[in-house]
Amino acid sequence: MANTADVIVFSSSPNRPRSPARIAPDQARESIALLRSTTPPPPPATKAKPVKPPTRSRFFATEGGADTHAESTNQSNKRVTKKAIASIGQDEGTASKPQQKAKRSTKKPASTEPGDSQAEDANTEANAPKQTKGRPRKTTKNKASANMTLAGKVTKTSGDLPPKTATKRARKTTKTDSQTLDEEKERPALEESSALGKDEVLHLDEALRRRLDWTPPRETLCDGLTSASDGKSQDEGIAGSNVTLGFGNLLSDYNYSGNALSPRDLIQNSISEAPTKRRRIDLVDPLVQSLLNGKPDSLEQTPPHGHGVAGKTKKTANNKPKKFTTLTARMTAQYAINDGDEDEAPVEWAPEIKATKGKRSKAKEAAEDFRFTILSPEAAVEFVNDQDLVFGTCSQLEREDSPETLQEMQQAIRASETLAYSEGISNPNESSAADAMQTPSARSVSKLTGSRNLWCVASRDTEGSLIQSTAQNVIDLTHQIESPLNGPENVKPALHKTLSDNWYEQTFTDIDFTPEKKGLSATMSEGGSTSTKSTSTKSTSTKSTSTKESQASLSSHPPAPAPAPAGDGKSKATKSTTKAGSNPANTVKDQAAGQEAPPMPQYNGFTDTELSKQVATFGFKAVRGRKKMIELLQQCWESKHGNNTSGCENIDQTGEGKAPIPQIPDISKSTSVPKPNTKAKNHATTAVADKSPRTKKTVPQSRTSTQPSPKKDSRVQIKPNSFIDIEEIQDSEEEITPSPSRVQKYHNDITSRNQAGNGAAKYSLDVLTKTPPQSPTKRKVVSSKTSITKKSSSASSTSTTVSRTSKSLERVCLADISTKITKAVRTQPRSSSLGSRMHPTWHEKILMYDPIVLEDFTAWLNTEGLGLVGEDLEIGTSSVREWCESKGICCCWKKNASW
Amino acid sequence: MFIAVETRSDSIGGANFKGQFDEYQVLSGLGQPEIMDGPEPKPIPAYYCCYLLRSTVRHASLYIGSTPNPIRRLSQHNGVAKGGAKRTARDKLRPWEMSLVVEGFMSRVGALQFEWAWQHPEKSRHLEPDEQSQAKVNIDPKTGKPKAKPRSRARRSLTAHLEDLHSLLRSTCFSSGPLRVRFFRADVYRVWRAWNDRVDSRLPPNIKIILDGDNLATVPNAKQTTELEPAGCINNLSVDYTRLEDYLDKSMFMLEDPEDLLCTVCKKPVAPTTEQIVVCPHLECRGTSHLLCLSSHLLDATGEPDLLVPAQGSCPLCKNTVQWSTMMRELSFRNRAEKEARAILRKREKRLRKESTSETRSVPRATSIEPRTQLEEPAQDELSSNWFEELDLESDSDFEGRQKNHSTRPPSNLEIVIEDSDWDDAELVE
Repeated sequence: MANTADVIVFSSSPNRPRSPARIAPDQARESIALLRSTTPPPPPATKAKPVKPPTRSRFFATEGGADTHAESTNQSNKRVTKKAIASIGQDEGTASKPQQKAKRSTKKPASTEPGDSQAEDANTEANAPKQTKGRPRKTTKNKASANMTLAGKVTKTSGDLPPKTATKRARKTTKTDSQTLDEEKERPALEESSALGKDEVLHLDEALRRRLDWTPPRETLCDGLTSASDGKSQDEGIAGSNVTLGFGNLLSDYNYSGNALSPRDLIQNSISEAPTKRRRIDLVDPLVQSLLNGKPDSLEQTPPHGHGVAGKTKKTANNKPKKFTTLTARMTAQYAINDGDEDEAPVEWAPEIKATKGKRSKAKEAAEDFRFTILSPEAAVEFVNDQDLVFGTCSQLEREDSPETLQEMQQAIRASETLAYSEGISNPNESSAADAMQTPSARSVSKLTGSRNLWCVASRDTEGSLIQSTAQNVIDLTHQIESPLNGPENVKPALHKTLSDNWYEQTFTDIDFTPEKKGLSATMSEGGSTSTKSTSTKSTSTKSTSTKESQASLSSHPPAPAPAPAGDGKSKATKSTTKAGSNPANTVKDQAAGQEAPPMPQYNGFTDTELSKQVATFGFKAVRGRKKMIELLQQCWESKHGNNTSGCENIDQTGEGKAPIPQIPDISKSTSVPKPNTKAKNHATTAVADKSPRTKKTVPQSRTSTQPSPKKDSRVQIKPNSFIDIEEIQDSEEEITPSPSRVQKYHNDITSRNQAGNGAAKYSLDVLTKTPPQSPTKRKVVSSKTSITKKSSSASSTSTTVSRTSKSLERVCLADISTKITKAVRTQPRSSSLGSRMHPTWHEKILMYDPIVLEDFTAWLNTEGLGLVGEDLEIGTSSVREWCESKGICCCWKKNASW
Repeated sequence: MFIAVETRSDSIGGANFKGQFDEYQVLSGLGQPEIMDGPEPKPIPAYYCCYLLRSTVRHASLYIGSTPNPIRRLSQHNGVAKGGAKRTARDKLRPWEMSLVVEGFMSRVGALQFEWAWQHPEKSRHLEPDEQSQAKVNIDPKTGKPKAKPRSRARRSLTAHLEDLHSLLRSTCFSSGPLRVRFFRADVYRVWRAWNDRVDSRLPPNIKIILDGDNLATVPNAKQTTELEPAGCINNLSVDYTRLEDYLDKSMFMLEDPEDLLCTVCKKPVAPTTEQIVVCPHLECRGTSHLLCLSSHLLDATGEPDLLVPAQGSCPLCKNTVQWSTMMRELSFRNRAEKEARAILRKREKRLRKESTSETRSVPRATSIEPRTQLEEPAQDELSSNWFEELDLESDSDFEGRQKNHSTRPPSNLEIVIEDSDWDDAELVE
């Protein structure tokens, strides 16, 4: 009976299918939802299908084969009927259509009237057997259509139906609502009757025309489900039904479902269900928020939310595509796994999803079992801190496009523009790009080499001298310290110690442990590819975080990201620990040993003059070329001290100086060598300082070494704890208040510093005295302009405005140069022979308000002038012009000098 | 024309100098003809200004130009003389007036740069640092137009020009120079004042604002004798080196016989022929010093190590305040345009002689006022009266090759066609 009713409704609908359909959906939804919920997945699909056929969906090709059959058979008839007969008549006809034309004709008269329903019912019943004979799908669809139609009819004729409708109808409607399995059984028959749906198909032409512009939803789900959903979605009224389906999912989604969160699930969801995209984002948010809130435990809680959002459909559980379509998916994949582990409890919450989840959750649980170790709150906090979350567009996620890199790029561009001698400086972008390019696995080695060179070039000052990373760190540290203290974050001093201990353990685990990591990562992400991806993402995230941190001026990561200074110390410790067997004491010893052996000076940070001096001290003739000098110095230093220091350290140093270190451990060692200083610095300064040091250290050598080390550290830490990596969402804007993680890191740094010992402290002190404060963010790009960066950092508590910093940096650079130029001009000896009248000095020209010809002046500066001041720089005319203008000196180009 | 001279001689205390002048003449005859050619840079111009030209008919029509001789230039704009800018050639808009001038440029290049920057505020580097401050005052309440950087190059309002001027004068490049802004029109000055009140930052103190023209209750009757003093009108501006003639006379006289002269700073003998010797501008002071000695002396006094050019200081000998720009103008003129310097001195001497004779005749001193420029016109010496104009032949040209006919200018003295820096793109509003 329901079928008949359905038919009628639809028949009437074709012209105006929407109204009935709309009404119908409500009921249909209910029925469908009920069916689904009650019935195992397959039945619901069948039920869902029926919904589609009702009106438009049938017309569309999207519908199942049954529809097509019906259409093919009936199309001719339908067309005729449609054209000739009034809409109502057609509708009825359509209802009966599936079966036979004759039926249609007979039905037609009754169509609009309520009484028709009975006749229709009869027809439907008759039809039902046929359909059942046909494909099951058809039946299901028909059923659905019947249901739909029933709903529609009910609504339409609501008044009429209850009394008039045959028992079947009433039953069906009621039954569907009740969702009893029995009804379902019955329904198939009714659905079969859905031949009416075929009739509806007759209207295909019109519908097609109507819908030409309309893009039907893609069929992603299993045929049954998808088709049903599609059909529903296509029809507006039906859409409601879809929604209902979706609603079921939605509810479940909101519940914590342990399964769904995996990235694949997300993807699937997105494909199958419209709302998915949003959901993905939502998933992330809670995690981030929790991180922001600084609740270490929040991670556990948050993941479930995320999973729940993802909403696990059975299908998702079944079909887990191993590809990640989007970067976000990839990124989230890591976390998803974790979530799943943690999500177990949440899964229970969502009973609906249980079936699908159950399998998954079990598997996950198994995986979790080894991973999951309950961490002390401090450790947990640490974990959280260490986790780097990267969110953003693909471009952003790619290393280069991170806000920091963008800023850097901008800065670099500016610098290059402003400074004529920018030629020498390699593009920071390139370096960053190279970093991004490197895959996680390849990263350690290749990255080091490539980036290093770039950084070496980039680390030069505007003047062409290298920035001294050490000095920079000091300033930052102070700044950082202040910020964390000030920060509202809950920093618990006691926690620090504990954290530090934990941290040591974590850090001590070698990078070499990668297998573990891999295992973890693999467990996290089921696909091997995912594991690599996750690692890569982690690394990227760490980088991004570092950038964030630097920007924020709060350095959260003590161990990993901090490249040279902070990171070095930690990495060193970690290495030593690993060697020693992950004993903190051993690590301490190692550190002490490292301290004893004089760390190789970071020649990259030296200015040219300093380098030349150093070269001279080694008894070498002055060498042209900074690089050569550095290499030479490194070699000398190695020959001098290298043997004394632990072999690994020496190697590392050499590796840093000359070539990329292939082995990760080596890298860490290398980083460790310089580290003591950095560590001490870091300790002195707050956690913020740590981050800044990284960026600072980004100077070629340090950077290369540091980058790998951070990865290792992060991995190691993560694995043992089995914490899910919660990444903070990096915004281009820096956080004013340090995130809890950062604060913790800061504490950790402090603790580590303490451990490092006095020697490190001394180093740090030296560094401090030498280096002015730099802004962390700018360091990388502007590393050459240490003084500038320092100023900027000090000036701006939070490095919110990149532009400002860049400007300030430029200014600082210019200031440095300009003071030198001024000095040079004023120290130029008077020309004794011919007299100042014939050959006035530049100062005399300036004093006499002569327009200064930039080319000549620059040439003089580069050949003589700066040499007078002891500077061996090449200055461009543009910077000279800036100097002139800043002094109010009239300058012009040679071509205009004749004015 | 002589009146001005007389007043000047009075101020100097001519009696004392007469004898010197005689000597000077003699000496000048013997003078060393050592004049630097070729690479020798031009002397600091006696006068160079950027001006804001405004149509008296239509006040919205504005024009920014630069010239070493605003008197001549104004007549060109008004069609009295040849060579006016195209933009100002429209009869409807004539006559033009110079509503304000920015003077005190120490080089033609500087003036042209300033002019260009003023004309193209949206492109000028000098205005960039001011952008922020401008952003604060983003909207001009009067015009209501946003002051966003990408200003159209279309005609801009007086307020906008004054804003730009203000920013330029505050820019690092021009703020340290000895610039002065001379307002000839009261209404323009009012707008300026209004803008000054609106802008957060103030002009650097070394930039003087001079009220002139109808800003003055009483129009000064005579020629301007010092840079800072109001002239009353454009024609009274002293735009040549005659302002310096007394100073020049003194210094040249002193340096003719340098044997006794010691640098006031380093106490070493000075060699005027080979060294840059600065002479104290105070006529009674006989202080001479090396350029670098004096500059370092003055710079040290300022206590600013980064400073390269002192704005002013006290003479180590007479302790009077000396303007560095004045000394440099004289020095450069004396060293680099010796011929012209001598010509001026000769003229001056003649004048003085005439005065003396006229005085003996008891002729009233100030009988007529003639424009200053005419002083030079009676060419008395081998030096053509237009030497300075020749120097400045290109003076009105545009910055950066905007001038069209550099080479085509007729060099003849009679018709000096000076290409003005036309603001080509700007449009006159009709």
